[in-house]
Amino acid sequence: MESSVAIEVKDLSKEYFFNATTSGSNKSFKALDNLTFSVKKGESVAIIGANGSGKSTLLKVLAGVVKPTSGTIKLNGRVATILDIGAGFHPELSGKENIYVNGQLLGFSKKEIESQVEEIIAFSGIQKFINEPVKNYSNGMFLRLAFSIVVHLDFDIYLFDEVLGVGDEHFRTISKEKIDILYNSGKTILHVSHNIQDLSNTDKSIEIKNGNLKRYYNSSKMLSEYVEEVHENLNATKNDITPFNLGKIDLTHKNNNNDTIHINSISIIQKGFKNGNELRSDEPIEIIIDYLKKIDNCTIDVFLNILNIQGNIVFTSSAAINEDFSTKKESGNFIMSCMIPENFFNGRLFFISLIFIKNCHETFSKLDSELNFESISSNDKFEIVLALEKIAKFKIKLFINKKISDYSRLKIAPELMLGLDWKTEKK
Amino acid sequence: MPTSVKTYSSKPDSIWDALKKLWAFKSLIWVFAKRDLQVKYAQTVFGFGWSIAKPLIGLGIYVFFFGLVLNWNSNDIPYPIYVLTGLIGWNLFSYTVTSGISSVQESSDLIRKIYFPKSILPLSKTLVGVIEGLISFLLLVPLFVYYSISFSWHILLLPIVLFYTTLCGLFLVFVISSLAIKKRDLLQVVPFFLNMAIWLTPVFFSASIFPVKYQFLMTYNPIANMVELWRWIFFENIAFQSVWGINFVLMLFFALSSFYFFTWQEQKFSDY
Repeated sequence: MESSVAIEVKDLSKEYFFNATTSGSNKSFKALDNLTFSVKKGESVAIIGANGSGKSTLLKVLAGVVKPTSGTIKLNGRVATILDIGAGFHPELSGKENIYVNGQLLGFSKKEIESQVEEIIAFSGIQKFINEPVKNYSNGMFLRLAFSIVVHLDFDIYLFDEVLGVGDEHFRTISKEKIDILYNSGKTILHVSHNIQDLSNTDKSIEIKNGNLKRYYNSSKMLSEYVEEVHENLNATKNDITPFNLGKIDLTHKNNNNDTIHINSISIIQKGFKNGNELRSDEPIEIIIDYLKKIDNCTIDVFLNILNIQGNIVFTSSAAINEDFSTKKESGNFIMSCMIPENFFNGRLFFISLIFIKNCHETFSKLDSELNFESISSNDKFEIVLALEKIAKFKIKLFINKKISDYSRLKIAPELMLGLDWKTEKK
Repeated sequence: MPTSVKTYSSKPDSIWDALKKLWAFKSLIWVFAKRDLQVKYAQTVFGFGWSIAKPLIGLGIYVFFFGLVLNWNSNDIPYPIYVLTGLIGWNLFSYTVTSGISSVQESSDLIRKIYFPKSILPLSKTLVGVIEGLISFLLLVPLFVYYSISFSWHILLLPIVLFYTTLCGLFLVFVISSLAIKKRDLLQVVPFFLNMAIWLTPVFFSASIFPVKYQFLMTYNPIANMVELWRWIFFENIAFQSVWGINFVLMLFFALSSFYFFTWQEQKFSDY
């Protein structure tokens, strides 16, 4: 085994036999099927996959808790296995006593724990209750203490199984920070989670499907691919999203009969764009809305929402932010356009939503003049004239400096790049 | 801390590897035992006083019924001392067996989360038994003073007798827990077995109350030998029997084999 390798897994299989007393037959189930991969020292690897794909079994085998049916595993260094936070805690023992029991269970000597015990207690934030039996602890205290023990002891390899999914927001944040510190200090980390956000800091990802290794490469690319695939499969059953095609968005099956406005067309234009639904990240994107305003004495403002594949808004933009740009009060045909600069999107799938709001500025100023929110009446709400949710789906292909490469080490924000106006001056 | 390469594979460990792993984790035996002792008398007023009070109460009952009411033969040894010396050995043995067997079930949650050799669990229970046994030893001192009997030099061999007693217990623990991984019926039988075994063992009475033609049962019963051995270390006037030596060697072999069988089977614990 090379010294730069932390984990080496070869032809690993794990077969479970169904309990004959309940099923009556001797069928078996392959939780892991011939997995081979290796992890270098100092790498952090996300393990993703649907429920029941074998992720947790893999971690259990790596932890030595479950014996493989065939194949070998080599681990270089001390392994911390956090398959379940607080395993080995005894309810009757005090927090402090449990620190020692748990630390020794994880393979540390009393002396090593002694040197860390103050920090463990400080990080957990339960100094006041540290001599109380843990059965009297709240869930949060219990978790904080358990997590604190593991991250303060000096392991080489950390196996985390859904550890961040259990605590409150505060706990999640400090734990994530702590995991980042471990990562930056060169520890090897394997992290199983269903929350892709928690995995965004990893170097590489392993996807396991039905006990097989489906793919194993850079996280920034693979995690977004994975999320997109999951959501594409979800969306495949719904037909309300029009795939974007040839610049002009098809609005026929959107409700476009409105007393106030009628949308003539909405188009997305990019230089060099021919057909299909793929735009380039290195060219500006123009969104043009052509509409007929049917009534006088009011303004209509459009809000553009760009959503990621999970349906979260990535950003919102509107001309309404600037009073001068607001539409005129009279009726007639209007064309509004919005320019998204080049190098603004990181390559991904996005949805567009447009919301048309009546007398936006009047509502703004009404709300601003209110001294407290309790007095805001329902009349002060923004009046939505027309909401076109997810009218188009488009894919942005990532180009930087006119060529596709692997930019995963840049740690670019998952959805957006900072293609804003920069100036450099030499003093 | 030197980094070491750990290898997991489907191959079972050799007995040598199994013993090496057990040695590497030996500190856990004490960790678990200490935890058990701390937990055992948590939220009690008398705390450790109970580990003296419990055998004392038991002793009182046995002495009253068997010694005073039934007037059982005790080979010229004062009955309370006779019962207590036998009981210390028997209690250690039965505690090792019952708690050892349940220890694996008790910690099934832990077994699925953290790796350590599973034999640590019954071994730590044995240590708890030994400690409690030694505490109940204190009861003997006032009794010996009261009856003005002095301890025999045999008491120096106490560690060997303790070892033999735990071997007998652990042999059963390893065999039964290995066999009961998938089908747990065997675990239901153990309490009955122990209840029955105490009457085939000279704890409350002397072997001489049996008809002569059945006395061989006592000679070949390793548990009876163990209890006799416990009396032997206290009294000068009991003769050493060579069958005890043979028993010791055999039990050592059986216990080691059962330990190996157990380590061979323990990989399955987390699967069922």
